[in-house]
Amino acid sequence: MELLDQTEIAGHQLSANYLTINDPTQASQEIFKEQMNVDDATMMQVLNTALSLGGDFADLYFEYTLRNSIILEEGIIKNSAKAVIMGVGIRVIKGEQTGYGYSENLHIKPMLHAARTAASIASGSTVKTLNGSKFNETIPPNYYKVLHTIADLEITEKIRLIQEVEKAAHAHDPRIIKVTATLADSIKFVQVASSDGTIMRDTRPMFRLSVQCIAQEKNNIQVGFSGVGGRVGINFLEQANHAKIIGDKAATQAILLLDAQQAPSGTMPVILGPAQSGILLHEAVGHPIEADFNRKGTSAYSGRIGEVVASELCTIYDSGQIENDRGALNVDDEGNIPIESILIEKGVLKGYMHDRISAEYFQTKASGNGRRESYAHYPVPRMTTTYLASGESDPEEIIRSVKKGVYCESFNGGQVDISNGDFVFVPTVAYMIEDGQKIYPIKNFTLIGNGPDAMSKVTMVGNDFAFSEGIWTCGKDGQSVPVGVGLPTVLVSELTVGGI
Amino acid sequence: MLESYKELAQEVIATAQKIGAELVTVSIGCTTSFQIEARNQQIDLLKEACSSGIHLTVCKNQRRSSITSNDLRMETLTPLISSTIKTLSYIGADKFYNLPDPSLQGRASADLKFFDTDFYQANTSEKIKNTLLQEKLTLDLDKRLHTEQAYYSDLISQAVYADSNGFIDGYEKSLFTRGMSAFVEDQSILGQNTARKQTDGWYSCARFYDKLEPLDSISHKTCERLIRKIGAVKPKSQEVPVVFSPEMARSFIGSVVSGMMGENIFRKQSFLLNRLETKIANENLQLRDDPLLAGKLGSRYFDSEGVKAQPLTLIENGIFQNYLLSTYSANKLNMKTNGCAGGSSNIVLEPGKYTEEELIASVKNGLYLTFMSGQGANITTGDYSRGAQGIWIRDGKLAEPVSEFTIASTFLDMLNNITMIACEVDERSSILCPAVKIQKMTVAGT
Repeated sequence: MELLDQTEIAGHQLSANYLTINDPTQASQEIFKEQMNVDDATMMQVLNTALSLGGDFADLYFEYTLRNSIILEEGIIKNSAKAVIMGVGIRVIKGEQTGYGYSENLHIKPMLHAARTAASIASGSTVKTLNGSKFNETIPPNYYKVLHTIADLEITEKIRLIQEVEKAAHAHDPRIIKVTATLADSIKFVQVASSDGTIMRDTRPMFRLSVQCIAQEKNNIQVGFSGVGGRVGINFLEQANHAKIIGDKAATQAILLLDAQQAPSGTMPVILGPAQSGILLHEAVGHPIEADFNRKGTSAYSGRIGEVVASELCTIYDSGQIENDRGALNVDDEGNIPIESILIEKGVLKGYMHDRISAEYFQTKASGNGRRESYAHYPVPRMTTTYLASGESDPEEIIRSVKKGVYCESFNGGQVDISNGDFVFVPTVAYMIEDGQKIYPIKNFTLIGNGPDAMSKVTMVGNDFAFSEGIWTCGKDGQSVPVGVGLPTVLVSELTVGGI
Repeated sequence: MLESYKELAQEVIATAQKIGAELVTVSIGCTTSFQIEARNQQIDLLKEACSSGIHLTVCKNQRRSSITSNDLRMETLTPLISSTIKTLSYIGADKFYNLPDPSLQGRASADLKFFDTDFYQANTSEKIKNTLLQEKLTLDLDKRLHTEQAYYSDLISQAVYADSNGFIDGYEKSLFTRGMSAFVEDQSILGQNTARKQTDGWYSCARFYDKLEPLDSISHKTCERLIRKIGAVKPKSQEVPVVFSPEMARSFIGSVVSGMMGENIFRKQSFLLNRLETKIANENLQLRDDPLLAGKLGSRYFDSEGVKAQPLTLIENGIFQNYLLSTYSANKLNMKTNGCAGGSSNIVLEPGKYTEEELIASVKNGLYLTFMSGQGANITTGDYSRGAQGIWIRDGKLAEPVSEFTIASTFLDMLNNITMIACEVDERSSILCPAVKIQKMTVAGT
């Protein structure tokens, strides 16, 4: 089961001496080579050990992550947290087989031990060795140009920000009785050295400001949530008053829900509002066309490349190149540069999202979707930012076209069963539509559909494309990674609405 | 290992106190794990590693901060502690934060049997051989079956907890898991889903290797659960009784227990707010937290603050008896901790007198629920709406498989509508649950 949600992943983080990231490649080199003395000769020795039992390919994934967070609850800064996480993951591939070991210590002895563990997957007579004394490095394009990271921000300034979030939420309505705001920032330094003699480096900033509000009226208690973020720096905070915007938005949501009615139950047209509804793509299409499922044949889309799997109004992309988006990646966790992949073109399935193993299996190029949560995990195909291209329809006209149905604006998250294609998502703000108008808010329901079936029922696509705020975390195989989604207003002519 | 962690914990506490911390808590842990996945009679994945980490909280003048690191060297930790203590002045004073009363701390006197002393005897080639055999036994049962993966894993975790009260203790636990996940082709007659598959499987996990379910039993359950899903249809929208399989009952009870956590009560994020000592469930329902059950997955000698573990009644004859409290949430609620810092231990739903088959037999038209998805269990508002899969029940017998629908109700209605509880308990979790029948829920399908 693949999950997407925006619940807070234990929000710790760092302050650092690594203040600016003018050059993500150089910043990473500074950490691993200069500060931790992991030089080319050491890495080659570890890789040769990894291949010593006959593996086809080996790679080393070095990670050093610094995280910081502060939490404001009940009017006080209640806690702050720092985390420092480092390690190296060592992988050996033999055909479709993977051997994996890792070490949290970057000295040669524990690294060689982990390499021998990973090596044991293979037993071949031909043993490859690396020649030469230096790795070839490619400098990837930079999709998160961040002069000053949020980690640079003085703690007093961070505190001022979350206090502003809280103030905005309380100012919205006296029925807001609790506000919890969190500011989290991190920097992850990454270096991937491979047995093909290449090395890739990256430095990935991440920021998230989020708030949860509780509204109470007599015994009726409702929750509102909002957040912003991405691979952004301090200049992001100067572009808009994000603190006030999200405080106000979460409060508005909680207050709205106080008056919401129970949702209906049964099958009806569903309009998905712009931006956050992109989780439809993430669940209904994205996960089932990650190539590992298709390599094993477990997906409802296996063997269907070239077939019509969606309405011709649907053209869907996955791209790591969306600047400063939460899903942006300069280089994936296998050292491949992410491309803009066209997944579905006018309803026709064009291709899967690949990691190294699946690209080899399908005899195609890796799409830069090989991702992992940390050095303790082996990479698997994962989405970056998944989105549906804008259409022709006026969003107002889409609403007017529905006689009786549901309009969904924001979501808690979703989940999909890869094999049979059933997916759910859980709206937070939604409205009942009657005779072409939103008439009242509805609450507490789940939407369920079947991926290929629901996508073939997309009958209108709006011209109001937007990316969602950077708040989404995707879970698969026990690994969490940040992702992005985007969508214009979309009408699905029939989905099941699970009210009471 | 435990002894060296204890020394490190004491050194960290002493260092933090020297720099100015008044209260310090430290937990240090290490997990050694081994994992195999197999498919097509070949090892797909072999992973082995040891990972460790430290988590500490420092507090001065009621202001606190925490640090997490997987670098356990004092030369890394000391500057981190020092810089953290320096920034404490920016944190707000929280008068509710404190360490537990030292008289409540200690180790429960019981032998919880959560470490297999034969752990190091287990042999890698036997683990691999058995995993391959697991796959073969399953595929031999029915030629329609394909492998997603056969898997085996084991781990040992060692942990030490210490605080500036002077409490220090640790433990070692082992855990073994084996299982099988398979799929079958299942072309849907509906819509565009022409390459539909069904996936299912079964697994076993236990603290002792010899307590694992035998390979052939796992294979048979995998096959049976999979074959019965072929040809699933979407059911009609209606109100019906729903029999929750033990795994689904576990999911539901798990959400109920989150609603009982002190942290959610003081944050007003629970449908159980202000319901202590009132009837919240059917009078046949008994629920307790029991940390002292030998060999069970949630057992513990002390909670995550070192408070001595003890059983706690949660629901008695349908009446809500206790929140699950830590020192902090207890202080917020003006109550006393009951040793539930870090969450519940073993949650025990008292088994009933019926068999699962009798629960199904009692339903004329309804649902046997085998799967739920999505984040639709809202413990704040108490509303429940989840994606579902299962088998339709007709005249007391399992009939056709059903999927792509939702079930909905509210937590309180569901608890009150639990009219039958089965006697067979699923022990593969810290939530020990049999199947239950909920008399009425809304199914939304066609």
